[in-house]
Amino acid sequence: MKARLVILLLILYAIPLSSQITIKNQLEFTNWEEYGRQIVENWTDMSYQRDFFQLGMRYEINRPPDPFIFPRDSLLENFELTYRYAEFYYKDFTATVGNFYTMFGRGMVLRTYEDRNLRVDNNLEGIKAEHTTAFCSIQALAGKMRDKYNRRKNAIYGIDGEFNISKNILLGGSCISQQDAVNDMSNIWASRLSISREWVDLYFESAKPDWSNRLSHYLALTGYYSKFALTAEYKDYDQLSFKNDYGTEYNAAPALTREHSYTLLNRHPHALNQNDEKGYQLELTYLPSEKWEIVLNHSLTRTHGNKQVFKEYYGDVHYIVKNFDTHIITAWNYDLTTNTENITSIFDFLYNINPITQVHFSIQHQHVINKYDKSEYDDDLLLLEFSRSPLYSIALVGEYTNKYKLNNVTMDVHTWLYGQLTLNLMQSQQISILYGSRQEGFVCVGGICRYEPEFNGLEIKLISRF
Amino acid sequence: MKRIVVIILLLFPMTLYSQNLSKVQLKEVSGKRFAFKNNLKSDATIVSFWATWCIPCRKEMDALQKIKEKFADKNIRIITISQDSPRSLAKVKSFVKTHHYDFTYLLDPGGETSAKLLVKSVPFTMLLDKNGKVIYSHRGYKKGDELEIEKELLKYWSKSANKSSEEEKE
Repeated sequence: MKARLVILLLILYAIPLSSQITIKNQLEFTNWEEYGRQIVENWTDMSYQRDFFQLGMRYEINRPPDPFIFPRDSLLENFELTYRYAEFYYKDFTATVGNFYTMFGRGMVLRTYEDRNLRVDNNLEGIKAEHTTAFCSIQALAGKMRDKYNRRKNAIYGIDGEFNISKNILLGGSCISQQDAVNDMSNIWASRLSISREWVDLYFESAKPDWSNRLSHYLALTGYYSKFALTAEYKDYDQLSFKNDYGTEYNAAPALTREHSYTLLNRHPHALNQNDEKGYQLELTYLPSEKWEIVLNHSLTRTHGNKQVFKEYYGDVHYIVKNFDTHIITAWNYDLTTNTENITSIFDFLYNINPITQVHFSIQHQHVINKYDKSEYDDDLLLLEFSRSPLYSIALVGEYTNKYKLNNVTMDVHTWLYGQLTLNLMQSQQISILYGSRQEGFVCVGGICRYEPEFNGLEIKLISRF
Repeated sequence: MKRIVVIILLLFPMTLYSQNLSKVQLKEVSGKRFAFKNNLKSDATIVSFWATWCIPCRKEMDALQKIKEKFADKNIRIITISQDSPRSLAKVKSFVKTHHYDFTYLLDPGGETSAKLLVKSVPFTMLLDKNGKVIYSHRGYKKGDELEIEKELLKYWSKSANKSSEEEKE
């Protein structure tokens, strides 16, 4: 009788349970031919939802940890439950116990997030309570931040409030405090104002840490007129970085440099320094007709000693007609970290053969001038992609540099070529197989970049969602 | 007592349901609060996670607008959730003001909502029923992917029509 009951319960539970649990699995296998190294990375995310609560978890496998991402690999467990939470809802209140992500204002005080492409996951572990109504939103939290080795140190306590004082005006304030090793508290405070009108928007945030007499500011002003939109942003960050004893930053203020999607434009990115940076960014968007879009961008970052850190001019002309979609991009930038001037031109072209078949062709050229020794070289990248929805896409990417011709540079390889096949299976599975060699460079997402070393081998990615 | 426990255990699975957005609350690009539970009355709701710097996302937006125009007799609501971090957040409204899509624009700059919904990349598209339940989801965008969304919409509407005619008969 008992056995029958168990079987009946299993059948009854199996169908609805499987339909309410969402599972996402991401598996990555890398075979680095030149190092003779195989790496398996896997992330299993699971969430379970009910009327008044939600549970979630993430289990990670790094076997072995990628030495380019985790140089102190012995600190990282190969198999680990890195994220789990329970969230409860009651009317306008939400309480979270376990791991969570959050952001106060524009991140000048606190920003926690996960970006798997960049291998960033600085979630907090603790408790969070939120109360949200049409008039206000209040958040209070306590927890410890994760570093990339899944270590946590120093408890922080934070509060953030935002109030709609009129239809178009919003006022807010936030504070976080860190318990230091010697039992002292370090605090950072911020206040913000947001005004939204039909033709203009303004956002201003100012932060003041305990450890400095200086204020840090961020200002964004956006105006619209007919087919034009202009965004102007200003930053002044002085001794703003707030870290725990493992060096993990709690805050990430807006960097004010353009985010790029094209490979060569990310070769010399700007690394944000929240302790000594001021500058601005301007972006003009103009849509003369449905077929055309023009974007012009300029950004400049200096230190408080007036030393130029990053400067960029960028222009993108986008033209769509019938089955053709074209981007012509040109950019000039200067980056102090590599001390290079970089002139980039891109021609990106899409052609729709029929409603489900597309060809993508992209040619990117970059001329680099090294300001140390005045040497110059070029990088060229060519991409050819064929896709047929919803089944597959196949791409071939080649790159060439003449940097090896420089007298002071030793380079064994100056040509890279890889092929990539992506298959979509049964709506819920996507498998991507890459084989060949890839030039070193930065992977940049959401304004944060991670260095990817030169690669030669096989990479398989499988993403499943149920 | 044992019998009660068994009955509760047998009934409990009936109360379970799948991934649902009805509890999600986010800020609109205008600054107003948006609660999904108050905005699910349309014939279908399409949710698209995007970012200003994501080129395929913008191509998907054109395709979604065309779906809305194609099925003009149906009330389709398209809700976009921006994943722009503070670095590009100021550009979201510029985009909204210069591109005249008939969409609702929400912001998730901290990525809290996308993390809970296990959305790890953009574009990511979901189709919701009137209860906020996710009935279809799709990762990425390539030309032609919109036809899959159309197929799912027609399937959903046909199912709903059958269900209401059965209810009428009863």
